[in-house]
Amino acid sequence: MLSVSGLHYARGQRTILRDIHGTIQAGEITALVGPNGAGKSTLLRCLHQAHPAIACNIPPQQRALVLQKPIILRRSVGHYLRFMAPDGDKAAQQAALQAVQLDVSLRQGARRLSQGQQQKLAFAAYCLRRPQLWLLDEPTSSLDPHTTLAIETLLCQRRDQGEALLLVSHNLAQVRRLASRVWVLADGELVEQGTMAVLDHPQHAKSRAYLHHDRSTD
Amino acid sequence: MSDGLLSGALHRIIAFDGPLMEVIGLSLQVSVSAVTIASLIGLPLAALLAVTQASWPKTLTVTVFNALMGLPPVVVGLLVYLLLSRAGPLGSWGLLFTPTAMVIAQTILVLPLIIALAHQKLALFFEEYTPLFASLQLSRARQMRCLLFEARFALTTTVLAGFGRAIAEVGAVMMVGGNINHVTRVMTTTIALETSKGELELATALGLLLIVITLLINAALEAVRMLAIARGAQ
Repeated sequence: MLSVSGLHYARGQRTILRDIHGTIQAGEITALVGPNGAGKSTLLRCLHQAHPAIACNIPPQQRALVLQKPIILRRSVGHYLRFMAPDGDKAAQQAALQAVQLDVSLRQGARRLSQGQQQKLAFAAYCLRRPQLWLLDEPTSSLDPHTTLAIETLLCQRRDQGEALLLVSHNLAQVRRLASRVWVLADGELVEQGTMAVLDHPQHAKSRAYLHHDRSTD
Repeated sequence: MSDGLLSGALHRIIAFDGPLMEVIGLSLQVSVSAVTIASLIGLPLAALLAVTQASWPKTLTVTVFNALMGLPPVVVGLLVYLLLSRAGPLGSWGLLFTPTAMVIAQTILVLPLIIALAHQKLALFFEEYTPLFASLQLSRARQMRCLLFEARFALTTTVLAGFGRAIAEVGAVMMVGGNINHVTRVMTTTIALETSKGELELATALGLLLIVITLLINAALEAVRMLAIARGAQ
């Protein structure tokens, strides 16, 4: 579905990502873990755009980049959904809201919603766009457990519908619940990737340093 | 200010004095036209500047418009006068000493203000929305449309600030309008003329109304701000 081969990214003189190789499969959730500043968000942004090092059969319009703090427009819920997905009619909008368990009126001001509701609204909007690839940058990091569970359920539904998901998360318990594969990024390098066994038996020194430290706080 | 002068001025206002209303009508017509034209040109231009990547031409353009905010009205008046006078490049149009010439002068005066203030606001909105625009891969035109809509309340205050500058302006409209009775006489030029003649009653009435209009503009600004807060759009 998406394969990266030799991705290199620099900002000015500073190299952010170097020689990234990996594959994301449809119908799977791949977790991207690593310490702060490793380049995870930059990698997501690179994967979201067209890049010579990325081979992907999904057009950029069908790739959804979901941010930790959703950017909600200064308009009603209905207008926001129409902006995000112009093709979606009112019935589709209602269905999308229902799918994310968000019980609000289409006429309500989108910025009046709580942070958790705004994240659900952003998910509803992206669902309306019917993406085939989800790039998720810590989407539940600031949400309460109930809302986190609702979002996780939604992610599993998307996976079961055959969509590909790349999830950045520092919550290793969540990674274990959702993902079937794991990428470990450290200092701009993809130092390790594989099945969930990587979490328990990391081979690379940088993976061990991150995962063993994280386990103590897991 | 004597009681007689104030009561005379108030009497003119309450009685909807003919000459008074004519001058106010023309003032509003000229200033509203100028601000409308300046907004139609300036707001899209400000949005284009906001979504354009940093480069030296952009920096130069923004700097020039910021500097032109403080453009002296008499310089604008002189420029438009030279353009529209018989010997000027647009002299054949016969626009000098007409309300159209006053609209042109006020538009030139207000345009940099609207572009500079709108750009400042839209740039902040653009900074906030950049990740969303990138995630939706929007065209530049759609980004501009989105910014102008999202910043609608903030931009209303910009347009009203432009109107405040236009309605209170005297130098440029005096030079290109000529302050001709029943043709190009507006509030500010009438106040200047009547005061120089010692006819203080009409000048006072117009002065009071100018203050009321300024207060109404500020009240409108506050109402817009409150509405924006109530709708969660700020």
